[in-house]
Amino acid sequence: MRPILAFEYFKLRKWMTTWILALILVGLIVLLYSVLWSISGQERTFGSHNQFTSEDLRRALFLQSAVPFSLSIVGSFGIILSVVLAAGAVGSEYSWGTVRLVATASRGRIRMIAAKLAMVCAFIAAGALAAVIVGVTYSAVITFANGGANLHFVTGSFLLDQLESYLRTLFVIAPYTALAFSLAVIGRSTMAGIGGTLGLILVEPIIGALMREAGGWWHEVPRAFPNSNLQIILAQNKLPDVLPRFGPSEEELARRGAYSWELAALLLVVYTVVFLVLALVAFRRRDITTG
Amino acid sequence: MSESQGNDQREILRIEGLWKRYGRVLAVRDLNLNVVQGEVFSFLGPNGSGKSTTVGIILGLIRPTRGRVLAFGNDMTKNPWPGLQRIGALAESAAFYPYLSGRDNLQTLATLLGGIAPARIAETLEMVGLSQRAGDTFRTYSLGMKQRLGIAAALLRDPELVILDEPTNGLDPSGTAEVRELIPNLARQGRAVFLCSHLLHEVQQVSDRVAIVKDGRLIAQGPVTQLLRRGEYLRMRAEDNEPLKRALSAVPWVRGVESHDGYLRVAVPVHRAAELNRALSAQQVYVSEITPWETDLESVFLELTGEGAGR
Repeated sequence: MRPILAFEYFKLRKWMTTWILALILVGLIVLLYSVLWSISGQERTFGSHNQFTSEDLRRALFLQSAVPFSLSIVGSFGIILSVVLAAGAVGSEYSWGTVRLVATASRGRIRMIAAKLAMVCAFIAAGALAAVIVGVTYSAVITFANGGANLHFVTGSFLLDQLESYLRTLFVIAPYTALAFSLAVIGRSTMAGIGGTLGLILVEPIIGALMREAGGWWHEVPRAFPNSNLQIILAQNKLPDVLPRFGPSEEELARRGAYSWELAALLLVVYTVVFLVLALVAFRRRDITTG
Repeated sequence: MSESQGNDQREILRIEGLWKRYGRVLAVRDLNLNVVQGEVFSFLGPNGSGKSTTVGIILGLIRPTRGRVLAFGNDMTKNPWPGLQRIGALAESAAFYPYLSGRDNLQTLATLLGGIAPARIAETLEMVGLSQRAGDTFRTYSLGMKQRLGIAAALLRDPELVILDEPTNGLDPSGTAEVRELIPNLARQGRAVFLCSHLLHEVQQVSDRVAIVKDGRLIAQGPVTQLLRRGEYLRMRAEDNEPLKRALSAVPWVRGVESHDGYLRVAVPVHRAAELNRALSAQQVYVSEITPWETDLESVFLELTGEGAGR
C-alpha cells in the first residue's frame, strides 16, 4: 500500500489545483478576519437586538475563538473546496486517461481507489489545519495589537475542545466529499462529482423547505438530509454569538426539532459509508475506459 | 523480423473464446489467438473492430462477457496483477499527468511499480530519444513525444510482453523508423510484442504473425508470409490489353481479371503462369509481360475486411 500512497501523495502535491484550493481557503480566512477587524473598529452595535458592541466583536476575534471561527469557515466554504478536490482528483484521471496507466500498475482496483481516497482525506485534513494555523496567526496579531495578550484560557480542556472541534469539522466534510468522490467515479468525470454534489448542496434547503410546508410525513424527511445533520454537528463547535455563524445555532436547531447530535453523527456516517461503498463497487466492477 | 517461431517457444499470451458485449453491440466475438516468446504478433482491423477492447481485456481493464485471457498462464480476467507485472503497454494513446515532467511521470510510475532502479528511467528516456526534454512538462510535448514517453513507460519494467497500440501515432518519419527498428529488437531480446497498428506497411516489415479482425471476429490469422500468399495473382500486360482481357475470360480456370495502372491483375496461381501463357498463345494473344502480382499486407487486409470496397 505504501508505494501507491506515495504515488498519490506526489501527484496531489504537484497538482496546481490542490494549491489553488488551499489558497482560496486561506484567503477566505484572511479576508473574513480583515473585514471583521475593520468592522470592529467602528462605533456601532450588532446582533438581532443590538446586544453586541464593537468591543465584543474585537474580543471575539481574539485567540480564544480563533480555532472554532476558522473551523466554522472550513465547515462551510471548505466543504465546497473539498468537493472540488475529491471530484477533481478522481475525474481528472479519467479526462487525462491516466486511470488506465494507474490501473495496470496497481495491485488491485480497491487498493488504487482506497489510496486515492486516503490521500484526498489527508490533504483535506492538512488544508483544514493550515486554515486553523492561518486563523490563529491572524487572530494572534489582532490579540496582541489590542493588548489582549493573555493566554490564561489555554488549559488542557481548552486544547481538547479545540481538537474535538477540528475533528467534528472534518467529520461533517466527509459525506459531501464522499458523494463527490463517488459521483466522479460513477460519472467518470470531474463535472459529475462537482456538479452533482454542489447541486445537492444547493437544492437540499429548497426541497427541505417545500417538504416542511407540505406537512404530514413529508415534514419529517428533511430532518434526515445530510445538511440538516451536518449543521447539528457543527453547532457543537463553540463560537461567540457576535461572530457570523454559517449555519443555525443550537437554539435554532432545537426549535426546528433537529435530531440529537448522536443520531445526526450516525446518519452522517451512514451517508459517508453508502457513498463510498457505491464508489468502490462501481470502480471494482466496471470496465476502465476513459471519459 | 525475428526468427520464425519454433515449437519450443514459450506461449506468453493465450486468448480463448473471448466475447465482449456492450449492450446490443458485440465488440469481440469468439476470439482465439496466442502469442509466443520472441515474436512480433500484429493485431489488425478497421476502426471499431474490437482491437482496443481486446487490449483492454488483456490488461484487465475491461471484463469480458465470456472467455478468458491467459498471460504467462495467469488468468487476466480474474486476477490480472501477476500477469501485469510482466507486461508493458502503450494502450490507445499515451496518457500521463500533464503537469508533471516526462521524467517525473516515469518516476511516479516507477514508485507505483516498485523495484525499478533510477538508472532504468534514464535508460528508457534515452532509448526513446527523450533525454533532452525529460525535464519539460508533459503538456508541452508534441504528439510524437507523448508517444515516445508512452513507449518508455511500457518498457520501464523490462517486460516480457510488450503491447503497443498504434505506437507510431503522431511520430515523424524518423520517429516511425526508430520504432520500426525498436519492435523487432524487442522480439530479438526474447520479448513478445503484441502490436496494433493501422500502418500496414510498417506491420508487414516487422511482424512474424498477423491476426485480422473485423466486427470483433477473427477473419484471418497466420504468419505474414502465409497471409501474403493468400491472394495469388499474376500481373500481365500486352501491347493491347483489350484482346488479352477477352482471351483471359475465355480461359475457364481464370477466376477474375482487373485492370490496374495499365496492367491486368489476373486471379491465377503463380505456378500456372506457363499454362496460362500457352492457353493465350493458342488464342493468338501474346503477352509482353507476365510476373507474379506482388501482394502486400494492405491489399490482403483490404480484401479480407472489405474496406477497399468503394475506394
